Amino acid sequence: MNNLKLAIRGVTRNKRRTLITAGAIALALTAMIVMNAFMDGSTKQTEDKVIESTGHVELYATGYYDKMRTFPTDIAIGDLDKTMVEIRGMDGVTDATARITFGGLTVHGNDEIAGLFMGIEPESADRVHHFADQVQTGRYLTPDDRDACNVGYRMAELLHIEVGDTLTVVTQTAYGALTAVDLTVVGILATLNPMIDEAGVLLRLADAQRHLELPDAATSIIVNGEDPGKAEKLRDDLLATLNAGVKPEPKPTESVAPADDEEVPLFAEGAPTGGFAVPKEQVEAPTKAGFEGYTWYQLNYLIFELLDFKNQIMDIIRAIMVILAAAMIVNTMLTNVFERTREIGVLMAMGAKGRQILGIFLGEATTLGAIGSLAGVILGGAFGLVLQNVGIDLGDQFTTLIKIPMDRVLYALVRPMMLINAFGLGLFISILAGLYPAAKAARMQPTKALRYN
Amino acid sequence: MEAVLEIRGLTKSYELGHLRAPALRGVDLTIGRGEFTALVGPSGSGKTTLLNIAGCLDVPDEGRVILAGEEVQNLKSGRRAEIRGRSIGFVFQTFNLIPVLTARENAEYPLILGGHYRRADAAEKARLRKRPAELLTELGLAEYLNRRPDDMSGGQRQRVAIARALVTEPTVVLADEPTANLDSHTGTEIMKLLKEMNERHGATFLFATHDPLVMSYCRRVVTLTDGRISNDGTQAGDGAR
Repeated sequence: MNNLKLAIRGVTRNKRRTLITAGAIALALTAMIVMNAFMDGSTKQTEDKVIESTGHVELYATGYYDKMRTFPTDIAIGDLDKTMVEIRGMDGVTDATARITFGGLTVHGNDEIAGLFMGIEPESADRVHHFADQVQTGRYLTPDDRDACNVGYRMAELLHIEVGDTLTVVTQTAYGALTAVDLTVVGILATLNPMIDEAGVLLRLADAQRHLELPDAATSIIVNGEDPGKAEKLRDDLLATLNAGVKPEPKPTESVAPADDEEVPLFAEGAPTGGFAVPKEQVEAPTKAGFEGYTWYQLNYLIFELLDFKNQIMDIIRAIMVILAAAMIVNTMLTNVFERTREIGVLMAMGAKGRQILGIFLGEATTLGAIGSLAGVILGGAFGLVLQNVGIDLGDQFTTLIKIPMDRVLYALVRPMMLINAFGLGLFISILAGLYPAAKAARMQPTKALRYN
Repeated sequence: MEAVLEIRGLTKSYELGHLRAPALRGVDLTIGRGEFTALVGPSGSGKTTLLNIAGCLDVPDEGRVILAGEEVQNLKSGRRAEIRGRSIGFVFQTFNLIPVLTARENAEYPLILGGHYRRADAAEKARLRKRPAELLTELGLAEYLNRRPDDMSGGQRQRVAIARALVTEPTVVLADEPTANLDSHTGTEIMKLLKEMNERHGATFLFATHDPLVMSYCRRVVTLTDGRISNDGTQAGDGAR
């Protein structure tokens, strides 16, 4: 007869009570495992989607990042072709694509909406962002699609755009002149990136360069390496190489606008601003020397802070579940101690010391915890694996509602460590919860315990 | 006769609200090895209190308790537990067997709790392992070794309790009303068995009882009245009443 056998016999005295308590532990752990699996799954999905949407590293001309929310086109990377060749030839770079991002108005018929426009290199952009896989209707852009575009499906719904329609884009050139461009819609995309789905218009980089007067330039270069986890190193390597020998940008001239009393004809032919005839020496070039770079994590830190916040909320829920399970164990073990008070007296009469009584009841609490935890891990693991394969469809409105690039179908992600941790936690909580009742039993006076009815 | 239990000037009182109720008022008693003694007296006379103090379950207010040559009244609870496990066997009125253990396991439990296996060498360990079954067989329970208490009669349960009390070969067995929950026929059987154990193994027994049946089997009868020994006499102790 050993301690384990005794503990197992102890917990089988009142099978129904044991079943209820072990069931509560199992239920709490099952819920916790499924919750954790969904948390990990959704975080991983978000991470993947964010990386797909952002790339591993984004490079800008120096000063762009601080103003990027206004989509500036006058802080651009110049010498693009040469720069792209240099980047693509670097060690650790698996792919790179250039982009011009700009703001403006999308007009279709009588409807208009503020739009986010992206001039992309269709082939390399597809390798990084997998746009071709996200075509809902029509087709993805090709390098030969002059003045064609893809639009986000939500915007298409809002503006009643169909494939083959022409929409007008009103924006400013890199020199600040207003311009309007007609684009033919060749495809509608459902990217699960709310910014693109709701307001995105994708056109060729070459068209964007032409319309924005940004020849051989881009506002950003997206670079992928072999491992998104090593994006920081990739960024540092890129910046070290690209910024080598770059002289600091001279301070911009005080004013690029013509003097008040100077007569300037509007929309002068051949002027570099696309409209204003400004003396060349007063025009600041939109391309800037020097690069700055940001990793996918830096560019989406708000999303990850939100995920952290979500984790904190889940921690609170987890703690509540653990406390409930622990309360159940304390209740069961206290009932056991009260019911067996006389027996405790007999054990003491037979020579059991306080620590032996403590050991007996802690052993029972541990056994109870182990049974519940094992059941919880099996149930939670099985349930989690089912949800890992099947997933839960959160509906079409989900990504729009939470404004985070995410799949509408949420998949759990069950990791072995998750199950081991859950089992350990269940066992630890059971032992902790068993301490008070066990200590109460160990502190009993033998004569009082023997007299207990 | 060698004294296994010596009690000198024992007093004990209990608090009842604001009052202190004396249970023992200066008891002197010596129990010799192999004695079969009944401690009798009306309810509240102090029998169980005396048994508890003699069994190291409780401590006296004053006086000395010497068990197998060791003064025990001032020992710490852990040491008293050790002495209980090594030197004292208990038989209770309500048997108090552990319901989830079989007869053999119940009889063996004091060997585990008292650390007897831990202290024994291999040969002694082997002897100890056989002892619960041997005792139960001796007490007529050879067929019931693997039965749990719920599947046994009152008499059978009390026999398991006797085996449990004797398994550690204690200095003294203290039995509190061992026949109170048994019919007279079973009670007689139990007393005969206890007497046999006393004669065969030389085990010392001290009973606290009201039962004339128990008294009739004891050679010595000590009467407690209001916490004092009022009579201490001997008789045939052959079960005749």
